[in-house]
Amino acid sequence: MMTHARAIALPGWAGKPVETQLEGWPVVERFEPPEGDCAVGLTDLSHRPKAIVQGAGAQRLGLARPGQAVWNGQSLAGCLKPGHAVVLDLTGPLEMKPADSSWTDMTDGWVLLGLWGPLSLDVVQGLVTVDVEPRERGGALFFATSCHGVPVQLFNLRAQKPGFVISCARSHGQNLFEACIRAGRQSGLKVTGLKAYSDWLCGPAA
Amino acid sequence: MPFLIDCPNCGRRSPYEFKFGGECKRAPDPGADVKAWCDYLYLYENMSGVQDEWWYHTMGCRSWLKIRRNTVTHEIIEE
Repeated sequence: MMTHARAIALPGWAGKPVETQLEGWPVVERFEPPEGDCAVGLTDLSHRPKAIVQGAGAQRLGLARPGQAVWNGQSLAGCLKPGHAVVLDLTGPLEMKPADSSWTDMTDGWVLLGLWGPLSLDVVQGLVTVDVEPRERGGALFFATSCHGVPVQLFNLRAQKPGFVISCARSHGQNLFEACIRAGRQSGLKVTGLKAYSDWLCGPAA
Repeated sequence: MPFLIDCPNCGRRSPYEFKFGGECKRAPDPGADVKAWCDYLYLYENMSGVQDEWWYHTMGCRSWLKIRRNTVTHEIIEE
């Protein structure tokens, strides 16, 4: 389980974090003063379930070719290579229930950051060298690439609004977080809590 | 390194995403003597020209691939 010692250190200018516990995970719900609207939001989603799926489990996801991804409004699945897939659950319950032994739980091993908002594409293209918005390909997209020499897994959700999630090994998590901040400095990036991200992803709660 | 490697899984990528895996060499027969195995493991042609090479996509799909590269021009002739 993630502890405060292993959590990402937030910059002081982000505001005062209002923390809460989600099934034992310490998470930042929002910042005080409130973040407000932003061109790019950066949210730590490391508590969300993550997994690598191989073999039969990967085949059941229905991903035909590498780079293809599926976003069903709750979870993301991306094809790494034939028979290997990466699965991220963005809105479901935190307890992962693997269907069988073909799943490897990466929740503790990877950090997961959400980059969202109108200018998120500019920020992501400042982090990785691959074209993350190719016009010739439709649907959600998955990229396994590098960011400043660190292997990362990147999803372009291609939902109604621009948004990405990027993950890497937890040991590089702080570096990736700071790289996102640097890449987004010119775009007005703000560090946000989970509420702002949930409102963006699912619409404001009633 | 002024070239790109066309990974069959990930597409065209920078060679910095890959790890060079050495020349493609034919392994000695199982019954070969120690010298043959020693040569296979430790000696390289290190040729100036076209050679077959192994590359590992460390930062992508984590797959091995074989390419034919001109070591002088970095032109990739066949993947």
